[in-house]
Amino acid sequence: MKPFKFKHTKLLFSCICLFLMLSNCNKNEKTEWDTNILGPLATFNIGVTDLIADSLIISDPAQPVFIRYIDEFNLIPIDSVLQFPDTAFEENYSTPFSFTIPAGTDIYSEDQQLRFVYKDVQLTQAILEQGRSVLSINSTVSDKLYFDYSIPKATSNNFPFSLTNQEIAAFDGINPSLFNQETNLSGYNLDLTGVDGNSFNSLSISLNAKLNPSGNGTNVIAGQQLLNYSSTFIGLKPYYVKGFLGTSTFSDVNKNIDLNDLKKISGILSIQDIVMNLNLENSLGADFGFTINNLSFTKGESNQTIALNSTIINNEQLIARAQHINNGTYPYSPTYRNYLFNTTNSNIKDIFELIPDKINYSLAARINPLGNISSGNDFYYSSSNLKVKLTVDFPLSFSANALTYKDTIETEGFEFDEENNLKSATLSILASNTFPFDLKLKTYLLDKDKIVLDSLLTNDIINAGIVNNSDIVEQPTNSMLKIFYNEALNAKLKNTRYIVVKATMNTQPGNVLLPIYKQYDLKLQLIGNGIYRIGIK
Amino acid sequence: MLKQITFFLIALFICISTFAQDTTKQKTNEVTIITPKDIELRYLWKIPKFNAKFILESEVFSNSTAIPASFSNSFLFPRFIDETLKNNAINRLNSKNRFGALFQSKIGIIFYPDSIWKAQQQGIEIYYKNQNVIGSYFHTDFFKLIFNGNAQFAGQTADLSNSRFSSLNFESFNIGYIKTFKLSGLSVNVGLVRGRAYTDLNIKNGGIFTALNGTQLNVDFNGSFEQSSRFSNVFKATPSMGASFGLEYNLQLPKGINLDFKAEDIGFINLNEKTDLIGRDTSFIFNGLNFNDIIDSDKDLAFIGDSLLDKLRGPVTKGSNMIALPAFFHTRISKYFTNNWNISLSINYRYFTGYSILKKFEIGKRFTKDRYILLSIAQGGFGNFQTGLQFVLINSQRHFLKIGTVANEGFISKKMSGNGIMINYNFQL
Repeated sequence: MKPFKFKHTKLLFSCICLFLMLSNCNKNEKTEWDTNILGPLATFNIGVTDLIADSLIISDPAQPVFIRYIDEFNLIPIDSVLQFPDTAFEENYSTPFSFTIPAGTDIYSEDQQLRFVYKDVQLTQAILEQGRSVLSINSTVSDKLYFDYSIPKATSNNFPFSLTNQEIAAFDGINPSLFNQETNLSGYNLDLTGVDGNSFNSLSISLNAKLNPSGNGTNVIAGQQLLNYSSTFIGLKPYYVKGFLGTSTFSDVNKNIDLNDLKKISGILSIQDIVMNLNLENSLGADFGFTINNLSFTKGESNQTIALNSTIINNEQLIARAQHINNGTYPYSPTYRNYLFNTTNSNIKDIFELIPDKINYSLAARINPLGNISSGNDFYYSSSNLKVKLTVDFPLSFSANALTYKDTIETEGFEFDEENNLKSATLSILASNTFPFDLKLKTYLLDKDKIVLDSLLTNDIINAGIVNNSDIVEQPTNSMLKIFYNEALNAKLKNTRYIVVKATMNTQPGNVLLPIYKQYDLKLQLIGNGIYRIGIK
Repeated sequence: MLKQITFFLIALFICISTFAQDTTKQKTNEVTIITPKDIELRYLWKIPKFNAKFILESEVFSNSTAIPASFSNSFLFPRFIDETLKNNAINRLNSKNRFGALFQSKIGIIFYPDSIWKAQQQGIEIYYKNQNVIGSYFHTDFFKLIFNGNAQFAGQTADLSNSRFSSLNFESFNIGYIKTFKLSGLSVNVGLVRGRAYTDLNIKNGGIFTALNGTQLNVDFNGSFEQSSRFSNVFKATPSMGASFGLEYNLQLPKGINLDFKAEDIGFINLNEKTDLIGRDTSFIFNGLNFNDIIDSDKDLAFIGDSLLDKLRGPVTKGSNMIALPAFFHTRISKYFTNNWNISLSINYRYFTGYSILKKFEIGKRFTKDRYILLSIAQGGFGNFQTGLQFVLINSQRHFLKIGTVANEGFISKKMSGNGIMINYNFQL
């Protein structure tokens, strides 16, 4: 029996193993194979309107692109100049001796002159756009008080501001009785000539308080405070003011503006023409003067500086005051000054071709450079300012010689899945170009120490569209660029911390000013041809 | 894979050597005329000596009209499919090809509830079965596209028409009734079925043109795609449930002639409501994902692949769908001779993608009471010509063991199609 048992044990063991093997295929491993995939990945279309905002192009589509750049800004921070400073009046009233105040006795009656503090602005009238007044009275009188409060020269619809027969509760011996009221002064007309009508920046206020006529009177002790009274004006912003607007001066000396984006561009650029128009609009009822002491432009890479060469430099320009009118969109008529800069009267073309990355300027501006010649009849509306409108016109017609855009992009590195299925690939870029310039592209991968790890594109060129006798490109020129990828590149991409992109533009033919048309574009199609590993479990 | 084949060969060697050991014993004992009753315990009309029988069956095979076994085995025993393997397959491809595979395991018990049932030769059968069936028919270009990519078709169209791939994994819990008569046996069973995964890609007409330099793809697709939700289990989603029916009948005729008929897995699965159902008739040109505004674009190139797939796939409908089980039909006539030889002819059919009627001729020889060898030659199924070799190694009072191959060609040559092994073990309690 022993051999039989042994024999069957072997068989059974074999069978069980076989059964397990058949039932339990290895599910953790993968079946993998490589496939060669070829196909388009993406298309990009870079047209003129992708590079220049459509709103800047003013030419007819069939004509060469003509660009008009407009910028507008206000020169004077009017709000900070003419807004009323927050102003408060406060007084404590106490009696010097002890006595009994009979019922109905006036215990406080005063007219106060409130003065808004300006440096040299002398306002005689203001109509408020916004602002508020806060009246606060604390009473320590042991009977009720009744008071009248008014600002006689603050009127709304010809009615002066006033509070009459207001009641303040009797002092309870612990906490003073409080009266507090906030009033919106929007739309109020303020006569700032004071009580006598000959002053400026002044506003009179009046408070009259009396003891409860129906009471029994009250005893007060010498030195006892009876009232604490404050009147505060907060955030008064005028819609209109009249008076002398002062002689405020604004100046910026040796200021710099960094044009960092332009630091990335270098090379030789020639443009056909450029015209800049500086338009100043004065809608203040005051004269205005400004002086540009210096305006220079610097290209850091070549350390070359060009100063604007124009008659406007170092000559104070006067702009006369706006005038009141009775009919019109606005109640005033602005005055204007225009300054034209072109290739004839200035060196603006040289400045533009420099592609400056820094602007240095010194300028000064002042109101009423001739003093108070209006005898206090300057005016200001909230819509008034000294408005600057800068218009730059130029046809997009240029010649570029090794005009280079260089940028360094920081990156955290490119992480790939541990199981990267792309084993090798050629990424082809099919470029179809109708711009009359070629582009030489370089891309470098740098590590954290800025040491070059690899390059993706080196001296690959997108060829320029070919111009005809009329300097127009009719047919695109095709170019093929290739980027090679293999698994070794993975580690380099993982360690990449900077990517240097360098694109060099050359118009073709060289040294000829070539117009750009709106229909020009650069079509890019990315085509992948790679070995991709497919795996299934 | 090498390990598994080695193990299989060792197991086979042990079996054969055991078989050889008994030849001396065979000479000393008179060999009686055998009947099917003596050969396989599983024949229904063999009256069991014990009250219950434990059943363990497993079968794995793949076959194809073209794809070599070495290639298809790379999926059974995962490994990298290199160019040599691919080229061996491609060189054997015809314009129309078929491939299929079956992974099947069954475990169960037949028992007689009491002595009355046993006396009346009535039994109950309960078993669990897990099946994974893969079937396909495809154009040559379909295979090349999947395994070599589309670069080879630059400037040409890859014809994908009349290609289909189906894969179904399901399990069933069956209960059956067995009745043995004097010269015949009958078994019927019903099963509760749960679908685990189903995928069906059916391309009626289709093709992909790849421009010479890869600048565009022209895609034509008329067909359907259906895929069950990936995680359809009873806890996370409505299960994909169904039912099945099976029938088996054996009849012993005079002069050693025996007839068998079997039908199993006649039934359905209702795939749950999360099944992707796509019917698509589309034609489009793909030039790459379009970035209209490159300067401000925040699109990611990673979406390009998804974009192409979305375009190809179109709208996806989620819903339930009823599919038929891969029903299996088997008919056999056998003749048992007095000299311990037997022959049989059978016809098999499985209702599944890529499966054609399988015609099989078998010849068997019994050497001793419990040693038997069976050689089969067949044509059809998922492949063409195929042979099988099976051994009954134990046929004792308690144990029955049959082991062998269901297709040998892939074992013989790496360039040939079809290989598979099976095991059948019964143990009486």
